[in-house]
Amino acid sequence: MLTSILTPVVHGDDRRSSRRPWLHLAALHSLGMVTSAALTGTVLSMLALAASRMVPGYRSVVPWVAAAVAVLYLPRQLGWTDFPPLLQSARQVPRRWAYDYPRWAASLLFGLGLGSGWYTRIVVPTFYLLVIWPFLAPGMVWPLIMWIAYGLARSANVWWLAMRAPLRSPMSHASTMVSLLTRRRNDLNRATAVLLAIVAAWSAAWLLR
Amino acid sequence: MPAADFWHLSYVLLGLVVAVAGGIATWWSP
Repeated sequence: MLTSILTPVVHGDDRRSSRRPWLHLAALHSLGMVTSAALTGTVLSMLALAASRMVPGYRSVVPWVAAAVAVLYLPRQLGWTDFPPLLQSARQVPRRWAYDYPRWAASLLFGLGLGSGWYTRIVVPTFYLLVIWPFLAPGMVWPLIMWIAYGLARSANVWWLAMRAPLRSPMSHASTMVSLLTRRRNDLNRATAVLLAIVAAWSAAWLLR
Repeated sequence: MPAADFWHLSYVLLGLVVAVAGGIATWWSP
């Protein structure tokens, strides 16, 4: 996906000006990502608002749900079990967009498609907590900011590639990044486990306050 | 700090951590 956005610059050099097309594509990708994430955050906040009007007091249940998700997936993240599976949509953002549309449109479309988080593979359960978060407390602003932060964090790897990859062979840099991430997979699982434990403890404290 | 402010602040900060961690985790998505 990364290299289908940033294709090699054949007659370029490593000056910053030659990177400008990649930086523009990264900006379009981020724009799509943030727009889609912000829309998702807004929809979830509106659903939370509607739920609070239809079922007064429902928010007292939400910390239980957050704690249950965190506790349920904690053994999985620690590598003790493969259960429960990570629930996700079977639909993925189509890779053929990279061939069907110009690069600027593909960058934007990939951002719009991926930013909601639903049309991509879910690799850790943190995403479920992000979906639950707007239901925990009243207000639309903070959930919106949180989802925008999610969109920006998602697209940061494209910026890294746009700024650092050699212009003639972005694929090699992308491969290096992928192999580095693969080696650090256990770190991701451990960090997620710590976060799940913190959320479980925080939810319990929220219930007892 | 009043208790209500503390809980709101913790809600915001932990939510931001969850959001950024969730976004970074997608780098591992194939």
